[in-house]
Order: sequence, then C-alpha cells, then structure tokens
Amino acid sequence: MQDDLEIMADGDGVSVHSGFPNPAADQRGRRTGLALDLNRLLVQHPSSTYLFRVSGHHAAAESIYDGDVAVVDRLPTARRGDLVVSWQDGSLRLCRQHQLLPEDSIWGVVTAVIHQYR
Amino acid sequence: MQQPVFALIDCNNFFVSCERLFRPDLEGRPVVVLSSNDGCVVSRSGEAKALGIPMGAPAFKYRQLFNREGVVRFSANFELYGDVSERITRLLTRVTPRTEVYSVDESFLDLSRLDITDYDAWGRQVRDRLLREVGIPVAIGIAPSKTLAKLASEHAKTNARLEDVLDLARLPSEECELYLLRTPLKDIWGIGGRLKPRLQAEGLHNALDIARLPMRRAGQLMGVHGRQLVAELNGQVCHPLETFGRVRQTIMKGRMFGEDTNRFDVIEAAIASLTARATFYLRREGLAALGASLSLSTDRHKPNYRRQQQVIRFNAPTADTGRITAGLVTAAEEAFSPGFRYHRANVLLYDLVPEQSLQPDLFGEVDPEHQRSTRARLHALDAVNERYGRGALRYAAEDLSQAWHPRQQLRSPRYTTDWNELPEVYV
Repeated sequence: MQDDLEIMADGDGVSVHSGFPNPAADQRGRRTGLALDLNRLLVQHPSSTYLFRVSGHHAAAESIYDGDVAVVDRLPTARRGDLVVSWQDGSLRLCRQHQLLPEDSIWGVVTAVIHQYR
Repeated sequence: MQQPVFALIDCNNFFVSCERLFRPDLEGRPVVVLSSNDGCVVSRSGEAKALGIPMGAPAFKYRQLFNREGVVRFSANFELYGDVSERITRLLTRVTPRTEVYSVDESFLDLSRLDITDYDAWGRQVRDRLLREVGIPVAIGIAPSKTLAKLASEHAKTNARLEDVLDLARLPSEECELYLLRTPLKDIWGIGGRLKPRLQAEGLHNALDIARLPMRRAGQLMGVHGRQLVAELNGQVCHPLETFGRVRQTIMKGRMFGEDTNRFDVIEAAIASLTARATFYLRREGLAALGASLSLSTDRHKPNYRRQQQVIRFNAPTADTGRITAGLVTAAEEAFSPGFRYHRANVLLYDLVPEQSLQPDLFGEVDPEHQRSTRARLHALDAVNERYGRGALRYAAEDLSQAWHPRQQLRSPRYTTDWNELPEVYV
C-alpha cells in the first residue's frame, strides 16, 4: 500500500514494521497472489478510505446500483462534479457536490464505485 | 544534541468517537459504550460525563437515568475500534516513524529529530488531519518528557480555551508551572490510587508539589519510580520512546488483590485481566508465546506464606488472549486451594517467537484475511483491558473472559471489517 511504502522510505533506521500493532496489515492484498493488486488501484489513502454499501435505486441513470460498493476517501477536497457522501436530513446520502445545500456536511468523496455482475 | 520533545496524541472518548463516525446524528447526544457483556460503562461522550455517569458505572444501576436522559448505548465493537486505531497509527507513523503506540487510543511521538519550529501549529495540523482523514477527534500534549506530554494532553482535553492542543515545550517556565499547579495528583501519569492518599497526607496535592520535591524525599515516598517522576516533571527524560526491534525474552504482569482473597472468581478475573495486558504487549511487539506460567501467592509478611506456580505449554506459538487465559484458568483450578487467602497473582509469558511464523492451517497455508480479523479483534480487546487496568473495575476480567461469547446486544455493525456490515449510503 502506498502509505506503507512511504513509511519504509521515510524510515530513519527504526524498524517500523516490527512495531506495528497489527503486522497482518502488511499482508492485505497479498492473499490472491496477483501481481496487480486492486487495492492499489482503488485505495489511494488507506487511512482515510472507507467502504460503503449503496442502498436504493435512484442512481441507475448514473450507473450506480443498489448493492454496489462505494470507495469513499475523506482526504480530498470535494470539487464541482465530484460524487460525495454527505450527511443530509439525518442520513448519509450519495450525490454530486454541486447538489448539496449549505447545511449539508460532506463525509467523504467517492473515488470509485464497484459493481459486481456475478 | 537536540532538546528532546515528545507529543502524546490522545483520542477523546475513543470508543464513542468510533461509534459516531458513521452516525453523525449522535453528535451532541449523550453516548456510552458498555463492556462486552454490557456490564459497565467503558467510554462516555462529553454529554454523558456531564450527566454524572462515572467511568465503570454498572449498566443496571444507571438504566433509569439512561432511559430518562435518552443516553444512547452501545456494546463494545472490538473490530471497529481496532481498525480505526490502526488507521490512526498508520497516519501517525507517516508523520514520524518514531511512534510508540501506548494503548489503543494513545500514541507517543518523538519529535526531537523533526524540523519543527512551531510545535503548537504542528499539533493543530496533526489534530486537523486525524479529524478530517480518519474522522476521530484527538487532544495533543507536547513537552520535553513523556510524563509532561501526558499532563499537557489532559489540559488540552479539558480546557476548552486550548482547543485540543497544549505545547509546554516552548512555554516560559512560569506559565508551565501554572499548568503543573492546576494538575491534581490523579491526572499525573504513574500516580495510582494507592499512592495518592500517602502523598496527600504529606501535603502534596498537585504536579507542582511533586516536581518540587527534593530527590531524596521523592525516593523515600515513592521509590525509584518517584525519583524518575520528579525528573520527568522537570523536563528530564527518564522514559524514552519505547523502541522497536528489541526482542523480549519474557513478559510478566502481576497484580496484588485489593484485599487477600480465597474466591476463585476473583482470581479468575485477575488472570484474565493480567493475560490481556501481557498479550497486548506481546502483540504490540509482534511476538507470540510458546509457554505461560501463573503464580499465586499469599502475603509473604503473614504466617504460612505460600507460593504456587503452574506452567503451561502450547503446541503452537500463540498471542490469543482467550486461549492463554483459558489455559491459565485451568491451571489455576488445579493449584487453587480455598484454605489460603491469596495476595498476589503473576502471569508470565515466555519462549517468545516472532508472530510472522504463526498458525499455518492444516495444509500449511496461512490465511491472512482470517488472521487479520482475529488480530483486529484482539487489538481492540486490548483497549478494553487497558481501561480495566487503569480504572478501578474490580471484576473486569469477568467481562474479558466472556468476551469470546459476548452478549453484545447493542453492538453497532462492524462497519470496517466485515463485507456484510458496511455502512449504507442512500441514493
């Protein structure tokens, strides 16, 4: 993962990896043994990235379907046109940044939506 | 040589903050998190504290108040807290690899070698990043020693004017002394309940009183530990960052009972609590144990002193709190004799090996996914154990020993560790 690689690069001789509370974290993505790790493609910032399950049928026009997995990053600043998760009227909702009202707060920016066909 | 500077990053009401991450509606409402069998309160939001709910409050005693005041209750969600804690660690380790994870919600950072001129601004930046990126509010104390950094973080947390960050490293000494003066004994790192009454009897009531003790007197009152405490409060480093890579030979945790006991349930509770603490360090250092021992002793200053020791071996290295606890409890049953009044219990883990070589399954394959979820659970359990270790929860281990089959009626979804429990976003 990007973060972990940077830690190794930044290290000043102190062994970070042995000190991690959960060494298994390093194993993420290695399970499949594939050279191309989808985590690397989909997750730019592991610390700030959370996964959500899409619920509802009102975004089919945008090719986002009930049951899809949304990859949501809290780090980036939302720009016009970005798909965001925001807190609206008591629930977390998916919409475009420019559709927000001033009282809505942004939870994170959607960086990918995963739709599985089978 | 650079002047040493440490930061303590302390997550506010960590468990409650984790629960609020996917439930923004809980902002501003009183929220408590209960121990794994819903027995007692282990984390409280500010609003819950304001209602007078103490740490460790038994849930059944406060049921009426909970209902009357609309207090939102959760069962401890180990997986969630462990995962969020790991995210924080990862972020902090990017800030500097010289990071010591002190507990699930507290980390020390050694800033001495970083090129920082304005520590206060640096602290605010780290606070903002953790809130924005991980979604967890923290308080940050910065000072020339770990004890002072911890003290500073207490003020940063409770004094609204400081807005979550206090830098004692760059403060003129008169101002620094004011903070020490306003720090009661209970908020000083390393002064436990046992020591407090003795110090108060000596007319010592705050951190400044302790800091001004002559070394000789500190030694008389509190032993070697007391001399170090005085030095640390004066900005001299006695507790450096616990460095990694030093492979331990054994890990020992011991405890005296509140009063001598012949009750097996109390001993069992102590075993579970001590084992959880010992395995916390075991896992933190990436180790697993092949052997464990338990010793139970009566008061050596009373007649018929007796010490019993039981040793157990595991067929594969383990860092599993539940497994080691179960083994030691069985061993204790054999050794236990109701005719004695036990004074002290020690748990020792030995034959430690690196965890990487862990648990291949029947086919010799390691399933990292499974191990990860087990470890996340264990690391989060460490959190609860930390609470018990620090707090005055006497039957803590009853909760811990049942943590493997928890009731958890009020547990929130495992939002970040289970594909079937992801938070929902609506369209």
